[in-house]
Amino acid sequence: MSLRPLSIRARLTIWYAGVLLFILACLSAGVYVVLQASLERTLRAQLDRDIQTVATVVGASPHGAGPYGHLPGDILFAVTRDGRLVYHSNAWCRTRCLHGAEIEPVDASGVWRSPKGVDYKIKAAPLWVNGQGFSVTVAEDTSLLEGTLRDLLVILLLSIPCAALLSIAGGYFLAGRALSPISAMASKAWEISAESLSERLPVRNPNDELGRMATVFNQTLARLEASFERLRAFAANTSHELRTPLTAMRSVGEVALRRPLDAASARDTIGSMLEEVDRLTQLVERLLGLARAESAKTQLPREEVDLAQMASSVSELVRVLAEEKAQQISVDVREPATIRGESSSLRQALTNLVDNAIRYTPAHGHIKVGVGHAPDGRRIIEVEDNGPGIAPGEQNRIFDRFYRANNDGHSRGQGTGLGLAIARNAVEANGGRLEYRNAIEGGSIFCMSFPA
Amino acid sequence: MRILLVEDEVKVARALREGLEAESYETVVANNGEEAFFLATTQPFDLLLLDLMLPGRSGLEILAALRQRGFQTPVLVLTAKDSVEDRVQGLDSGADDYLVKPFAFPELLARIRALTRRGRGDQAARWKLADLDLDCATRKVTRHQQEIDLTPKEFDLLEFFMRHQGHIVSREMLTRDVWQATARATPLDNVIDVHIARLRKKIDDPYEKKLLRTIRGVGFLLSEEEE
Repeated sequence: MSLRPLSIRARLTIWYAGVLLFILACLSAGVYVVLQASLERTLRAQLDRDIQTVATVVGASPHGAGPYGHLPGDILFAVTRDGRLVYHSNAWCRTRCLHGAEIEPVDASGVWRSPKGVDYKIKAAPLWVNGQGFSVTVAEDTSLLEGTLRDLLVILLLSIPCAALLSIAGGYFLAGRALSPISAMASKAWEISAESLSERLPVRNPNDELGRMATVFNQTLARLEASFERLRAFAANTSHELRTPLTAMRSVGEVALRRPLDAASARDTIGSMLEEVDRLTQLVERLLGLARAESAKTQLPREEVDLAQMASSVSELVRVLAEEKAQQISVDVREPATIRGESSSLRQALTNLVDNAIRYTPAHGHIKVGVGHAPDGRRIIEVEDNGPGIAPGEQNRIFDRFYRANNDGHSRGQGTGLGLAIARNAVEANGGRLEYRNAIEGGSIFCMSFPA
Repeated sequence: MRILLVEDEVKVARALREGLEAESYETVVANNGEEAFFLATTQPFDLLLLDLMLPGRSGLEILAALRQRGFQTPVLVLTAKDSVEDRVQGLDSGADDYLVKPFAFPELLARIRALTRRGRGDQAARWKLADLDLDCATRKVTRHQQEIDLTPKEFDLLEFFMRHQGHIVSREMLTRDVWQATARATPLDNVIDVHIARLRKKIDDPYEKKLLRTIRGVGFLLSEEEE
């Protein structure tokens, strides 16, 4: 059998009550023991005083009352000489008669228990009067002391359970009060779903513990909302991008079927449809690649990558594209730089950046791939062109998937709009940053930087 | 030459069979793993084309079971999964090569040719097509006895076309085998286009007979035959 874990409220209450009971029990035991010791000390002092009194009286009249002399007073005492009774008080005689037994200590602690069940504390002491030795025995009734202690015990035993009950009730109430904002937050959070991510938890006091928790929760919600928003935009963009080639395929096929086909036009139609299939395939592959890069950001194998060597090999690869537009491509290695990273993804990123520069720079432009160290020591590789640059309003959107800069006339119009997103993903997966800035004399600079 | 094609998608299976038969491969289709296992163990084949995602027993299980029984025939795996782990798993279970869906048909043919002549050695020193000659040792290209000056990349490209003369070459094949790139990206596609255009300018434009043709939507074909 397994016990269901108790709620925090129940646990807090149990702790409150437990701790309070423990404290009360300790306190009560202490009070009882101290009171008992103090009462017994008083009793012993009384016995000593009795002996003093008896000694004074006997000293004043050693033989005044004869062998069975009676002395008045409430003190219970008996004086013996050589085992024979010399004096006793009336009270002694009375008590002896009342209980029908001889008063004498029955145990080591000097307590005589009468047959009627009343305890007397007995003390005996030697007494010298005029050179004669006597023995004095005094007794004190302890029922008063016992009664006091018994009353105390009764009061304690009755009040502790009452206090426990009260503390359970109070603790339960207090715990409920303290936890009620949490329950409120929980039920509010329960209501927030993917559809209502814009809702927030109320924060009464941002500086107390619950306020901090609500603030943190709200920040998490804000991040979630933003990523949901990106996902929605991405899904919308993706379906739009997929729809374009699908529409082309469909209309090409449908139109072709409306007229009789000879071999040449059938070939043309099918070829045109296959081109769209190719576009779709590449789009899907790139999206998959992006998704994979995002899900495996920390798992890329690392090797030494020589940035200067990468710059020249990528420039060689795309040089023909620049030549077609009569553009110059140059590699400028200011300092040699090596980083640890995964070379094929970085190469892809750089290729996309250089291709982008070629695409958006007019004919006869110049593209420069620079390698070096930033002032703060980071290793950088940057692609600079002397094209039109990017308008400030567009700069923060260029890395979004499917975003194409509205740069009419210069684009070859073939990009998927994913190149910069892929490049940024690759750079970040390798622990670097990809940033854009405008070149001083116009044009764009895309700068990848990596920790030294 | 007999090929066993294991593919559960009926449309794909039919298209592939027609395509393979047009290339004069005798093709037998199995629609599920059990049928494939039965056919592979009872009839002789020269090549097994195996889809991994099958109803019932998966392609990998079939492959492992066949290899355990000493099945020697080369196996080309076709799959829609292309993560590195899937690839490694496929090759570990005894696949000889791996092709990710959707693939270009010319690419499939090229892989089949490579697998079935594996070990025979096709490294010719010279290639010839009509009046076009290519010498791999001297890296000289002549057409109509006139030497043509090619850049190193153009030479590699032409050598690849000569090696696959009469067969369609897809962009994927050029990306992987001539440019040694892992993924086909837009910049590389454009680079390929520019190189093809320049190569064509040098080997075809001055001459009456055109050898290098673009097959729209599929790839390129270096061949003597006119359309």
